[in-house]
Amino acid sequence: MNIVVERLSVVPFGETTPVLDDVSFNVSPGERILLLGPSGAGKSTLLLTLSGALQTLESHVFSGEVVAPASGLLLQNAIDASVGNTIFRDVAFGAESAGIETARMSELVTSALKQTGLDLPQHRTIATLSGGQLQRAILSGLLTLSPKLLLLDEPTSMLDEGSAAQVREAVALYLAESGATLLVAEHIFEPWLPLVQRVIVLDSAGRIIADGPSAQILRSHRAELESFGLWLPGSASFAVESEVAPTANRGSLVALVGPSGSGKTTWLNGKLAELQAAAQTEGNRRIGWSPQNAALTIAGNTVLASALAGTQAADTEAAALLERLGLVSHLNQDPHQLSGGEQRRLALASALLAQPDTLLLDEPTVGQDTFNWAKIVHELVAARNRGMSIFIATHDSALLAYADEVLEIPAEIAVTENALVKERRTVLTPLGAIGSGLLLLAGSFWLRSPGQALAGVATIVILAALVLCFAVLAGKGKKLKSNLSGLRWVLLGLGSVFLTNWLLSDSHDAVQAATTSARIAFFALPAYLLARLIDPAEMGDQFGQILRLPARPVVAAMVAFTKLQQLNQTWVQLAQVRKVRGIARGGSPIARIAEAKDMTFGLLVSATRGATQTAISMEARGFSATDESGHRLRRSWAVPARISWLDIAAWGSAIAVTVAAVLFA
Amino acid sequence: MTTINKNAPKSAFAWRTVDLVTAAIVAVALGVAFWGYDVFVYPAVGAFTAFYPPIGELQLGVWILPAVVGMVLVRKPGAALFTELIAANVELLLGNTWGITVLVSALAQAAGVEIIFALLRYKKFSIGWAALGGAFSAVFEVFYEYYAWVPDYSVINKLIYMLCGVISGAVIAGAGGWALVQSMAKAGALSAFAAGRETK
Repeated sequence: MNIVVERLSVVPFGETTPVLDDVSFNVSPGERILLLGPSGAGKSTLLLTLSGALQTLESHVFSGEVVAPASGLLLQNAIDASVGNTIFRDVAFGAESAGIETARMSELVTSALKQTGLDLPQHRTIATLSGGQLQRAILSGLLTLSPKLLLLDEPTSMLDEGSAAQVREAVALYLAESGATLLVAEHIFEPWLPLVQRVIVLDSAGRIIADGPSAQILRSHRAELESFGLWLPGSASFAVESEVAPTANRGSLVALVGPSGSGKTTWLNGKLAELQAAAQTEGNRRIGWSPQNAALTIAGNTVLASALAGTQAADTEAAALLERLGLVSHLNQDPHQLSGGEQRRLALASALLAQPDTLLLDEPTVGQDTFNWAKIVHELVAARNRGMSIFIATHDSALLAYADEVLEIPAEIAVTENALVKERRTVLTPLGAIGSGLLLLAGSFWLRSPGQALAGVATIVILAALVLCFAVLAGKGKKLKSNLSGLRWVLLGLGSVFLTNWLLSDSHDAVQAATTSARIAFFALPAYLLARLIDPAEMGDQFGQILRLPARPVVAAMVAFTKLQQLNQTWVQLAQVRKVRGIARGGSPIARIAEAKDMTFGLLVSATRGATQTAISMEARGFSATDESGHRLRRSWAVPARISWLDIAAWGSAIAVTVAAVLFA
Repeated sequence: MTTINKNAPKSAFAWRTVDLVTAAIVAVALGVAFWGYDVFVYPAVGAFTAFYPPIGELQLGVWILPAVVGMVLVRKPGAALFTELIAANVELLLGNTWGITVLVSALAQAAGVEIIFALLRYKKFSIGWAALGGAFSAVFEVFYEYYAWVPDYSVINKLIYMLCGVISGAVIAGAGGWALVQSMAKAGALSAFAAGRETK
């Protein structure tokens, strides 16, 4: 099937300037095409439109015609694009959307993983994969559906060279085997050249300015491509000179290298903690820090205000630095509206303006064009020459030429026991835990007399003790201890329930209040303990397959729970950044509430940005796929849900305990 | 196969993928944030309310916030319930004191918002209606708490308890949730949503 794009224009909703302007081209099956253009030229928009994912967002107005076969879309940020908590679940997602029966799933996933050469246990958690491994896992998921068209949107720009090569190899292998069509957009495009035959060039207004055989276009349009700031073959090592001569106390620039996911970020975080501890004892030592997610450093409503927050720098000094970093036309813009690359430069500006003694940067040059890359390096070299110690985690080999020292962080992350999800982790399933907890809550309303409440709570305590003894005997004592430490808050809460129901009542009847708190203990103690047993992925499987709740919301919730750990890290980093920059508020309850509001806002903006990417990734794996008559395909489930005998025993005991307690008095 | 389908028949009440995923991930994020408050907000506020616990109900709105945010963001039936239930599940997973019972609270805390916006036929989303939704959800939650947690309070204490809950529901959940969605829209994070388009 040919791809036909005819007079395609795409305008973001509510705006007048198109991202793509009157774009037309045809692609024959099996052609391999590289998309080139400056940042913001609409390359992503074109790829997302061809995949059909952008249309579902309803955030753009389209005109013209597009016809394309079903495709597989690979995005830049693999973490946002992942949708399962384990390799198996993530790879199987597309097959589930297509309604492929559970029995065939395992074979399909295994063969797709073989195609991309990802030789890891399938129940390994996504969170423990390196960036390159994760990108290959996602590619495997696309291959389960044998797409006739691969759309790659900067798939390796966040990866080190070794991992990027593995992704490219996997793509090349699939293309050779399947004869599928390829469209790829990539910043550093040289390594893709052997794979493509044709280049389409877009300009900053989203118009096609060249379309033809790759070698010919790269020759005939070299000057234009250079003026776009593209990384042309051979341009990667141009010199950046600094007018700041090294002083006597010249600082140092240390580059941390190693495969993505090897622990460069962890190393930086460790350094940060060390410096913070030192700053507390020695005082008067300033730290600058820009994490990989540079958006987290935003503070204030304008670019200028955000750069200045927490610093003593003058407005003019800040404006001059922002100009040198190519942000002068954005000074009064909302910093959230900047592109990712611009946000990285803003984060660098705000860190530099604080005049730190030590500066920690995580991947400051990702996605920068040659001009902005040179601006960043220029500032770093000048700061180093003035005496600053700079540590940079990076996979950008061009940057290494400016480093005084290169620290190699070893490759493999230690795979702890937690990295593997056992498919049958607990014998009591989420439905068993939730069901019995809710039965006890409902049953508690029949416990009216002091005797009944006492009998109820006594039975629960005895039962819980028996279960706990059993667990200790089964060798789960260590895990239990950490869970039980939270029980003191439950006991404290029960104490408070007793006191308030006693003191704030009319009768001041202590027996009545004790009955109430015993009744609450009857359901609250098990409710607390049972909550520990719930695994969100298994809960989703049960809700979808056993309770037959609608699959789409259940699956969306399961996907969201896979982001829990990442969002938790974002929260911790937000707090860190604000502390390092000196903009965290504290002290009075009012100041703390204001701080909570700012942090919640920061987290939500980051979460919604990621959510849009996740939604696109799900659409690209057929989440809304329909049959010929337009009916949504019926989803299948990769992991069958089950109910254990312990679940039934737990429901039975909940009822039995209630009945026994009611009859007792 | 991909095409540009310009006049696809769409129900205003049908959830798009981006609605489902954004509401779910926002809910998880709010669950994480609430848990994060444990460290620096609750101790300060808790000390403040210890002398007269019904005042503590002034915090109730925080727990209703996901319902309002979900509804003002997605604007479709079930948005408050979906968002609130997921946020409650996050609390449960991260380890909260009252375990599985938060799921029952979640139903009560979503009910008021769902009812108010269903009556408005999902057409009006001003700050006033959001505040009313938050307050109405607080009424449901406080009635559940009367029954389950504080049955022995005297009438006057129950009234103060209700008053604090309702104020908090209207101000923190209603107005606060509405303002959060507004500032997310201003930050350009909601271009795929009606809430994001209104600010342009």
